[in-house]
Amino acid sequence: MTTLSLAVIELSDSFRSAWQDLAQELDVQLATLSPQQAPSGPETIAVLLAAGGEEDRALDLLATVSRPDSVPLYIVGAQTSHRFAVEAVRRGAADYFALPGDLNLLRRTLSARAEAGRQRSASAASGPALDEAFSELLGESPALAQMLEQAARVARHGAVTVLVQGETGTGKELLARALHTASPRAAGPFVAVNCAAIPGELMESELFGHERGAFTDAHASKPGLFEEAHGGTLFLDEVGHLPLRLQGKLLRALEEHRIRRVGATQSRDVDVRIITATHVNLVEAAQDGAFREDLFYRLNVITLTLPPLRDRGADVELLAEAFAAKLAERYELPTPKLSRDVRTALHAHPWPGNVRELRHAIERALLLSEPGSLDPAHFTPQRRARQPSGTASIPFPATLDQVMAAAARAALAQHDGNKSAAARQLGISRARLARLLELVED
Amino acid sequence: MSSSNRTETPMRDDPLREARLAVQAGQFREAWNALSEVAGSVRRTAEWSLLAAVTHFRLGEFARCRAAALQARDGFRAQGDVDGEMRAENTAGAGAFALGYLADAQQGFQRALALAHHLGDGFTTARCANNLGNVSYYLGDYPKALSFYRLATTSFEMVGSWKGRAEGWLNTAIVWNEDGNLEESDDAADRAIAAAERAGDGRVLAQALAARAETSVALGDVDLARAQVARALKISREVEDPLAEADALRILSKVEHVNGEFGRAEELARQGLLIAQEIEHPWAEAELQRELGTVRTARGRRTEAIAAFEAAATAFERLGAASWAESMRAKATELGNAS
Repeated sequence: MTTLSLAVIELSDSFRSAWQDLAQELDVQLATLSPQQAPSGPETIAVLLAAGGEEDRALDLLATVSRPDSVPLYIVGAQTSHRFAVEAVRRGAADYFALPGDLNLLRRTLSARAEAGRQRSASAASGPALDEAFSELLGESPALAQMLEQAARVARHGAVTVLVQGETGTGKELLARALHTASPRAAGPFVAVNCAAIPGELMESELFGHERGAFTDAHASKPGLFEEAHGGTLFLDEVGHLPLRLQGKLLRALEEHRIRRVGATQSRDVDVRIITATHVNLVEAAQDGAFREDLFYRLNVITLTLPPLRDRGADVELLAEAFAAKLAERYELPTPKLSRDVRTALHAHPWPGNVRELRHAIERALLLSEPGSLDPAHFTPQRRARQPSGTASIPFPATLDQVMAAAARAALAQHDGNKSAAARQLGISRARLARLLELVED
Repeated sequence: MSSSNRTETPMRDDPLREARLAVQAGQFREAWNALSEVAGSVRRTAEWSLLAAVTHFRLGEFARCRAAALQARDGFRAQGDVDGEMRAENTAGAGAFALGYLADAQQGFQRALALAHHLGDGFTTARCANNLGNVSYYLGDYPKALSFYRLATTSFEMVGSWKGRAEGWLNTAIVWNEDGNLEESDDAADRAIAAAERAGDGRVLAQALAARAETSVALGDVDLARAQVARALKISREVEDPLAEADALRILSKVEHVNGEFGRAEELARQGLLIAQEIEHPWAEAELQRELGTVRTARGRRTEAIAAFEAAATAFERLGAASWAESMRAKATELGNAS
């Protein structure tokens, strides 16, 4: 349970014992402050200016007591004068209580404040409203609405494993984050990682961490993704890229809620919700032996499928309008209206890159069109020569080195210059790829 | 690469109060004077050594910073003060990093990270991870850099620092771009922009916009890149941040280079270089020398290009970034052999 506190500024000793009793009754901490001190630490339900016999001084101090606007300040004194109470409130006090007569009234007031504080904490701990959590996933199409309805039902169950499917650019990570935000784990970390972007040889250490000396390069111990995500959610994007030997270890971690760092002799408890995503068909991958069937069933407790943009009807216009407004603000440009031409172009294009492609198209058109307008001709770029430059032909006759160098160059071009991806495709290390590319330059 | 710092609130009866206040106010010469004036007994404390280390660092006296930080670390360790030990390790790492002793920096940051993790100090975890990412990037170890930046970004998110998140994503975008993974780079830069907007941090916002422009130009979309970097340049000047301005000029130079405007590209790189030299930022200087070398090569001015690549190599060497320096020397040699 979240701790609450009651702050007291004592201008006199009168009623001193009452504050501790009140705090105990209300199950809140008592914090004694000087008049210059602002409340800090646990959420403060109220500040009491304890003024028994020092009422006039309390009135003078009222304006100088610092506290958040949301925390009321009550003066508690011995004077029973109605006029004094009016003056206290006029000068900024939330109320005035004359003890001992008003003690029960003060108790009830503070009790109500404590109850409200606890409700706020409980509400924060159970996550924000569903609407807010899913607000980033814009759209009104039946295809999206149906998926969101299912997602909202799943979200509240913080332990359920979810598999998110969808084409590239449909917003899989956005959905995973929304599931986290709407879950009881919202206060914990959300750790997202793209399994396809981590070199195979580093994957185990990334997921499970390592101890010092576990391998040549391990100068110090390091927590892995599971430990980073402890108490929260771990989102494994492109889980289909996980090497088979690690799939078994992931399965064990899911079933036992324990992991063991590379090079460690002891296991550690982890409390993590796993959300995975993939754009490949894991059923087929399992049939082909590339993905463990038992892991697939463990991950696939609930499957949420994000529809491609081409199946979302008028959402494309809704999204385009939202992106245009947001990006216009970013670039300090007038917000454009979507013309008939733009709307036609939006519906004519199949958007294979989905929402991400749409967002880029809107940004490009916004920046390159006349201010306040969007010219659909600017949706896609006329690309110039890219850096690095593309492939070259193999000489004939060629040496083996030249053939391998050409393969390295071709793979690099195919993966847009991404050396890690090119190395993976060729089944060689990045270092080996770099050496082959040096052969090209020679 | 971007990094972040924090300060501590001095207590009233603290003998180092004056020095701490001066550090917080960014008055490091005054801080050193205050530290020099305290009693001998105080000067033998670990807390004094740590404050001296921070002050030396800010005055650019990195060797003295490192020595004082290591002294502080030993003192805190003897007292069993894990929090102090962690702060001292981190500061010693920062001193080593600035001196180009990357292996020492890495060790210091790693020890600080382990202590921060043990203490559950999310902010220091984030800072150490970010620093370790920078070291790995300088060493040319991109996968490790990305791993540390992810840890930094997650940890900054947990402590509610939008600025830290923006820096983490920006650094991630830079590494992805250098590794040629342009889509990931663009995505990370976009996240950096969103986080910088939330943080209201103009410097990171300008740098993140420039990072997106760098991706656009690498993808061959010169028109988009020019518009993006123009915005970055404007913001960097509005917030009067010379590092962000130098960065934007470097990328604008790249845009003009790809566009075939070699003269304009060289002029922009030269402008950026002047700024980098003025603020004594060796990494920015190295990158701008590299850009200058590339554009001069395209203009057929080999001797000047070789000089630029050599200067870039020297600047990278100063930072301990051996593989980067090597690649610059290789370019210079290649040009020399061809002429």
